[in-house]
Amino acid sequence: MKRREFLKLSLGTAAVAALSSRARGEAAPKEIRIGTQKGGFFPAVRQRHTVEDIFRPLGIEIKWIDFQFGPPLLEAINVGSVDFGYVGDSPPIFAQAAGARIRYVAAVKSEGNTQAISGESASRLAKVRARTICLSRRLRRPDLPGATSRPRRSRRPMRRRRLLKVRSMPGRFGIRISHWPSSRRTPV
Amino acid sequence: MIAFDKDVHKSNAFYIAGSDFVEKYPALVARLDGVFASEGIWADQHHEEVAKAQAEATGVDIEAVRRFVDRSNYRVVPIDDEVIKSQQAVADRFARLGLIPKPVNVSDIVWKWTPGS
Repeated sequence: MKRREFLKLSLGTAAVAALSSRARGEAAPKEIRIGTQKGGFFPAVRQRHTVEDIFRPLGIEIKWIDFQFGPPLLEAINVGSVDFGYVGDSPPIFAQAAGARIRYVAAVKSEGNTQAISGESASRLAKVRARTICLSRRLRRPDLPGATSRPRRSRRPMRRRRLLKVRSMPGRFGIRISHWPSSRRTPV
Repeated sequence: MIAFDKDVHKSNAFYIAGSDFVEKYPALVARLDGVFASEGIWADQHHEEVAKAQAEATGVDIEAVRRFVDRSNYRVVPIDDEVIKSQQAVADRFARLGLIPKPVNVSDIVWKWTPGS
């Protein structure tokens, strides 16, 4: 950060250009790259074309990029290949701890009707034993302790691995973990 | 074991932008927040359309998606003290558990959006 500032200042005319564009605020980009994850209301929003319609008059195109989960989406934002995206609560914490150049810009508050797994009562485990829950493979969800199945380590490159067929596998506590979206079963 | 998150910890979701993007184009970030906020209001009133589009995109059975959508909330709001507090609690828990190497201060990377700006 400091070094970056120093470089900027030492670059003379470049520094002047950078400062004046900051002062103007809005030399608009040609496109805005929005990172989403499968699902949510994004498929509907994309069909409706509302985001495109808002930005096209400003000469800005919208590019949608789908990610499997939050962490790679945030990494793409960190390195500047995506501008804006939507993620859950844990990925930004890991990203911030890793020094990612990201900002929280808005929230969608939980109304408390979505999932949680709590370790408070072992006896309640019986209720979900042998039921199926859906979860992205390799998704890091320390808040879902029963459901965090550790992926097998593989030396294959990322792209190959993604093409592998995912199977449902028994998780800890005998809960069957089935991986989204290859599972067509109903989430509990 | 399986519970609603209101009984355990409310798991919020976030719109995130790159630091440089926010610094260079604050008005565009506000506009993005604004358009997703208005789409969120539409989505809250049109669960069937949201579910159909989502089922098509993911290949997941429409009945399951309907249930999921009916439990969802799409309203986009500025990051307020309550959200920061809840998110900080998650961060502190992760630090305590050693999931992250050092504690982080969530509010350090919050950009305040003023709707209508």
